Amino acid sequence: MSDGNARSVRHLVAHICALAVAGVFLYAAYEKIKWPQQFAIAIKNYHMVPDLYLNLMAIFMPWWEVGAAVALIFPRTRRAGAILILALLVTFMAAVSYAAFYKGYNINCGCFGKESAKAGLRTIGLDVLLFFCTLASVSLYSWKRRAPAVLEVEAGP
Amino acid sequence: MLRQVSTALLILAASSAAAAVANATWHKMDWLRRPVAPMPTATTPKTGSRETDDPPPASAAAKPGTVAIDEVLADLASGKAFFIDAREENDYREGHIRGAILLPSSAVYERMDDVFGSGVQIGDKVIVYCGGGDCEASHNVADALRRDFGFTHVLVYTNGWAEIESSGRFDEFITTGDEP
Repeated sequence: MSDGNARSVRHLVAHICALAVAGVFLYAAYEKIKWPQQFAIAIKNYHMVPDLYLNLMAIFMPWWEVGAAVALIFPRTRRAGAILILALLVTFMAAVSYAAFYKGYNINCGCFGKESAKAGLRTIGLDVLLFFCTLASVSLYSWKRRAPAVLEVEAGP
Repeated sequence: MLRQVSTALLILAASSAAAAVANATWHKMDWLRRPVAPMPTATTPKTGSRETDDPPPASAAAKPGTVAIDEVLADLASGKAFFIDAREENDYREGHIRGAILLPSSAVYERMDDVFGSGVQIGDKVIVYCGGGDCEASHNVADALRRDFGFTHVLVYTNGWAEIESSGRFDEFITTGDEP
């Protein structure tokens, strides 16, 4: 496989990973934006945020997910989007680990609105998968511009 | 790297602005969550044993905003209260109080039409229960009913389904399936 083909395949995989992660984040954000009060209940179940600030988190966090997901789709903003997505995923994993494993709460993760699974290993597994997909979407994409073709002028006799 | 972080912060700021506009124009949710007024202590009917010096049974000691088994049974018999089951659909299907409306804490706002459709008025007495023990679903649902829908007489049956099943006093009031 030539360098050009290998590069194209890498870019294709990077785009697919970016679209997959962005799709999951946009889907997750949709339900939360539609029912922010419901998302506030989901956050409350974790017992990590003071009650006073539950609404603030429920209002802002889904839109951060949207912003990060949209940024991840476009190559120009992909790395910035990836920074946000990775930060959000680390936060989610820490919250689920604290609630489900450390505190032993039997709660819905609240990740996808009413479709959410129980907070636990499955949730962490999905977050890890998204984490590596996000890394792949950035690391497999090359931002270097192609070097301009060098015209070789054959020397005359 | 610095440029990427700056862009990320810019995206965060733009998203936050979108969130603020969406909330100000669409949801109009309070920015900060104010505590709801606590419900009065339930009027648990006094039984013979309660008038003696004997301590009441653990399940009969109702805290403010909650009801105990005796009052729940009295309301079931008289039909004076509406019951809401805050557990998930599967649990509800396996068994619930006859007439109880399913309102899982994971879909309160989406399923409120079911509650209003069953004829409950905001001034009616509503008793919410979940699995019992340390389950918080009933408290979350009761909180939402009071805070966001203006219900004025919502009580939580804290011991919930665990006591309903184990006490043996609810046999005639229990049913299974999807229908209330």
